[in-house]
Amino acid sequence: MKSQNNYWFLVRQFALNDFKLRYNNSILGYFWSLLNPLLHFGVLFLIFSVFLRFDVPYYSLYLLSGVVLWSFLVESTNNAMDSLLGKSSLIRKINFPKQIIVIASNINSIVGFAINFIVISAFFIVSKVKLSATLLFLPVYGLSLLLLAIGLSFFLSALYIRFRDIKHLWGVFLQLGFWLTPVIYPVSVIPEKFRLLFNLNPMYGIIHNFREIVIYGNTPEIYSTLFSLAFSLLIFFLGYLLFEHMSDKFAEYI
Amino acid sequence: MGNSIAVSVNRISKKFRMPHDRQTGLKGTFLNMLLGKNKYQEFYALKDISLNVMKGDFVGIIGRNGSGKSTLLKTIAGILKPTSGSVKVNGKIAPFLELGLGFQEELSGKDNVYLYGAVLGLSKIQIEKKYPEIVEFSELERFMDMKLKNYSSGMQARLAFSIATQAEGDILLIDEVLAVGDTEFQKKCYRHLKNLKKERKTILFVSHNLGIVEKYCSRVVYLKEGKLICQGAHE
Repeated sequence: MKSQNNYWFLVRQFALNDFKLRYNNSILGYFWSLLNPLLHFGVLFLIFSVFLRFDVPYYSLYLLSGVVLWSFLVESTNNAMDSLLGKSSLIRKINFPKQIIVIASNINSIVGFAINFIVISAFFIVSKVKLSATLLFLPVYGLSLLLLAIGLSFFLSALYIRFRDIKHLWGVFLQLGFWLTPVIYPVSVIPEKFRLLFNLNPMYGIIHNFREIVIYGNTPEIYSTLFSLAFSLLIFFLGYLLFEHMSDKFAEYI
Repeated sequence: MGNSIAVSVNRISKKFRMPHDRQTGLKGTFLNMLLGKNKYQEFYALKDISLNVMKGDFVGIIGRNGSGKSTLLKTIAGILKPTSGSVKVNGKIAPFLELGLGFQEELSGKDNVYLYGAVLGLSKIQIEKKYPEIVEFSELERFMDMKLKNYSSGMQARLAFSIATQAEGDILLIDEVLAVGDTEFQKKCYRHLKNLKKERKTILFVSHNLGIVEKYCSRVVYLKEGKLICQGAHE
């Protein structure tokens, strides 16, 4: 029990230090993690509500929620890879559970995500959206997104120690994912024959249903919800197992 | 295994694969796989080493560079997994391996002390209690808020050894942590080693300084090219 307590202290220590290091030598510091998704949103909003228009009610909320949810996946996975590699000198000199590094890095990403959520809430208040009881489904999608992000973090960071290409590949994959997930465009744009394929994307279930329950007060789609949850769980366990399997040799390869 | 044994190393070997053409990329790895070019030179850093360390032993490990001293300590610390054989440890290990201990360059001295303490498994309260003593021992009071990258290598070594003095381990692994530092500081370190010896802590100590090994160690292990050439009780 005692050693478990100490590991929590280690998680905290890693998270705090990562936090310090990430915004080291930058003037705006932590604001960047808030500013980044907002600026990304701003650029997309300019293009897709001024130049090209989608016929979506509450489009600013629609776009902002998509961008914030998607950015969390990007941030958490990339931060986990950087964080694990950044601890290389410690890994070579002390034996400790390397999972802690990934957990701590994800805690940082979650804090940034939570702050973004405050901004979303402000947008909701300004847009005068009526919240409905369907909001109660929110934890399901929160859990799904967290499991997916942490699972992918384990998976990618373990591979990243062996193959530094992973980060570049993942960058391309995320680009593709961004455009194949209805982040900026409405689901109605997707041709009928491809709908089923889109359902295979776990982020589709999370982002689409998040908007349904939060913005529009609709009941969520059962099929895509269950699929996202199952997929996230699977990724979480596979990622964890792979990480555990590979972490024995981190000290040799890092 | 008797209760008086602290570390029992049973016929361990450690094989490293040294690629002729080292690839850390996917493309290189795949290309080499396709061309059947993944030729490795196998290299044994440790060859069939057995060693029993009793509680309270102060073991000096000597040998030339590349003889496997550090690999042996890393295997005992659990950082590296042996290719064959097994290591049994009876007690809590506190490893202090190589200069700098894996300090984070961009963090301050203070942050590094807390981080290292946490990685060693200390709690916040324990570290807070030890912190003043660590700073005092290191004589770096004025520099604790400075980033570690601005420390000289001597200062880094001093901080590292100072953390080591406050370790809560039964078994201390010390590898060349003492290599740098001025004579005054080194004297202080050796006084500390003497105290540890009095406290009957188990210590595995790598050093190139035969005089020191002779003076402090109760046993000496000599490694050559990954093999244990001889070991013997001192005195």
